[in-house]
Amino acid sequence: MSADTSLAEPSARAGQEKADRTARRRSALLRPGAPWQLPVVIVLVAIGSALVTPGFLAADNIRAILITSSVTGVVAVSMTAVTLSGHFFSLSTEQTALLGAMLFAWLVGSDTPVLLALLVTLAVVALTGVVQGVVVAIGLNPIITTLAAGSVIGGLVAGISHNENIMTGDASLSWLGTAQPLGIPAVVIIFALVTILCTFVSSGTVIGRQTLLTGANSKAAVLAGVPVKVVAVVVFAMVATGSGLAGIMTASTLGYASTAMFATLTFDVIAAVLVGGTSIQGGSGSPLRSAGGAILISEINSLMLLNNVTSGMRMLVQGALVLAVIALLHTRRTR
Amino acid sequence: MTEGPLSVEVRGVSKRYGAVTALDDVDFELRPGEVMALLGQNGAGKSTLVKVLSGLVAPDSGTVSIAGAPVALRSSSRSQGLGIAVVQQEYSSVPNLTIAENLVLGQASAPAVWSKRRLATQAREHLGRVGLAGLDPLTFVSELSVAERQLVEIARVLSRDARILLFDEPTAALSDAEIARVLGVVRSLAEDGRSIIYVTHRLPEVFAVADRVTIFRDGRSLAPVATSELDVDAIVTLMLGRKLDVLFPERSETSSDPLLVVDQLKSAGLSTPASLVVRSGEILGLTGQMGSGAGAPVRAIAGCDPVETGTVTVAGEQVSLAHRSSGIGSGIAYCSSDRQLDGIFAGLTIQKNLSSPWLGDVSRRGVLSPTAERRLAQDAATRFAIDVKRLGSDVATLSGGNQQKVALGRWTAGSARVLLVEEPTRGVDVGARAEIYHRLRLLCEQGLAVVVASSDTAEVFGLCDRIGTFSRGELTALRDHDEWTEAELVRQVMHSGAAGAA
Repeated sequence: MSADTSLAEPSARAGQEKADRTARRRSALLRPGAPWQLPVVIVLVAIGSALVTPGFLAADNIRAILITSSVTGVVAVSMTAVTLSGHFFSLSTEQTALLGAMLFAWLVGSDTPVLLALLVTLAVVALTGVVQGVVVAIGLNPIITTLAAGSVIGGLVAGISHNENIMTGDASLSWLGTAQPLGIPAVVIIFALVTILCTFVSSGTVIGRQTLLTGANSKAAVLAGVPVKVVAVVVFAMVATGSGLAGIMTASTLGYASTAMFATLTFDVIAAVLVGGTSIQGGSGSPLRSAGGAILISEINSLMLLNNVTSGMRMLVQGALVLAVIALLHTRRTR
Repeated sequence: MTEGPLSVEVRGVSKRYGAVTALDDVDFELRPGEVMALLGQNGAGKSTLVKVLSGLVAPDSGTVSIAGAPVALRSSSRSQGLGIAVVQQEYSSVPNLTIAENLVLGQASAPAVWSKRRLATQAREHLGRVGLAGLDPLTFVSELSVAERQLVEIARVLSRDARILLFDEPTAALSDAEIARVLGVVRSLAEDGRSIIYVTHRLPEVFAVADRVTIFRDGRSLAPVATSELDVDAIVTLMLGRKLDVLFPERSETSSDPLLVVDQLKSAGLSTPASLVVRSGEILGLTGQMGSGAGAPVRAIAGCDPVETGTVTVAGEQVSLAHRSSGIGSGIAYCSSDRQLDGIFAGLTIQKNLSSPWLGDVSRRGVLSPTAERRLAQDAATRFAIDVKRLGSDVATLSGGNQQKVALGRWTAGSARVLLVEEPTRGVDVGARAEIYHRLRLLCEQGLAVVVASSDTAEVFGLCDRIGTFSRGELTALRDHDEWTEAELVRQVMHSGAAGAA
């Protein structure tokens, strides 16, 4: 029924094919969500903001934007694997980050060496992710599983800490929280490193490719020998580790951990992933995009802060931005 | 049989899909109160005619008359309005609703608000007509057997007061006793004066239920013949003579060492253990009707279906059948029948599709090698005549035939030694079809062992070196190609299951 190009007359099809390719390339560039668009939008928003708000591009403000985007960004970047694999999102990032912050602050506060505290904390949060991944691999809905896991983790943390602040109380933390090699805050460097690592895992490794295949078509992935259950465990371990790291970053910067932290983290992270352009259905997107999404959201928030926009209004704008991007990118992709 | 206008009269109907002629100047007639069997091989045009009559497909030319009056069947609701109804297969009922609720589904006259009791009373009447009087209409459909669901489907059609019923292979999934029940209901409906078109692949059912038989061949219709004037051989002869519109590649010499050995395999879909041997350089064909189990060994060897007993070895090494990935590790490639559903990663590039089963071969310590992946993809693309310059394009931008080539071609890269293919050319146009046969034969010549499971007997007969037939989950015959004639193969497939089948 459909024309089979490879069976067509070779001489006749050469010119046609070249034209086809050019047309395809052009439409790929203009398609909403093409890779070049997000950086361009970030730069345009920065220039526009600088015009209406003097001081927007001051070094301090840029640093502030990057610092606020790093915590969300680290989680968004590690969340991308979950979304790419077709398991939508983890809804337990808030509580996992809190667990990471509390555990790390407590360990450091009770004189554990910082490096050891870091490794222990990451191992514990990763374990919570593995458990959630196993449950999802068995066949439970990822949204419900992570929602429930978040409740359990949050309840445990609140119960054990009695909702009291835990102070890190140690000067040796300063390098993590406040060091600024070359004027770049440590948390921003961590954000950059995590982005590079996750992007490499996603595009350059077998497990990353298996994640993508699972998200693109999980039935076909099973038939192609992709261990889809292992993929589920790995992606949920990744997002939990990223969330825990975000908790450590926050506790280090502030010098304490409190159950009041991370109140809007999960929504911010999902917003960053979606604004970055990773497909909700999975199979398309990248951690790098989510990093861009986190920076763009942080940039717009900064603009509103500098112009004394109320917090309610800021939430409204962020919500509207997510809706607009979904309308633009994601609805086009639904088959 | 009552005299008067024909219930259905089709004259000179043609339907083309692109280069494919599905119906070519077809005539068809159906008298009131008669059961007309519609027979023909795959692709002969039976289902297209069913679609025309049910209003799903508009013919390019020709006329359809219902009860003597010419009609235009522009939509399925128009067709329903004229009293035509298609009895869907059993799985079109909604399991989580009761029988009574299922009966009113999709009915234009259904009330917006209904009471359970009123629905149940109506339902009871219709259930009685299909021999299900003993069933409580408030039973959930999920609790019924397959045959009962099929009968509920019929009741659903009756509740719309259809005068012309189309049955499209209604017994594919049923046991003998259940078939007898369905056939009994079909007969009694005809005695009520309804007209019935009965599409099937099973000859015993034709003789049990049909008054006359219309045979389709290559999109053309033969004149109807009374069943009493026919026997099995006559029907098979009428059905054959299909044009050789597809050129099959020549068979080559088969080397003698067995590559794939399947011993006493029993898995989902097989009622009796099956043993098979496939040599390197050989194509084994497995064929049978829908639900016959011809595809079952293939899925089990691939590691997709749970296996009860039996062993599989490739080149003497035993293969674990627990997972698809362990099969791939042993060099067993498997291509499922529904490639749109589970053979293609739409949205990903052709290269990523081609390399998907062989990530272990193009990586080192878990890190992908872009050059190795590209080389593997180019290799597979060249072998299956896929445009190498388009490896970076989304596979979904390819035509259907080319997508099939990607789905099949990816298994020829990497370390495949055995290739299992279900329905290799379902939904493929003639050009791509010949090419796929040609490529399969080439792979064989490179030393692969190929197993093709297909319900298309012409394809199996034309392509394969050895052919096994299945019926009711049992391997009923396994012979070299030269020991079969096509007529014998068709008869074996259509008639086995009846007592003393040849």
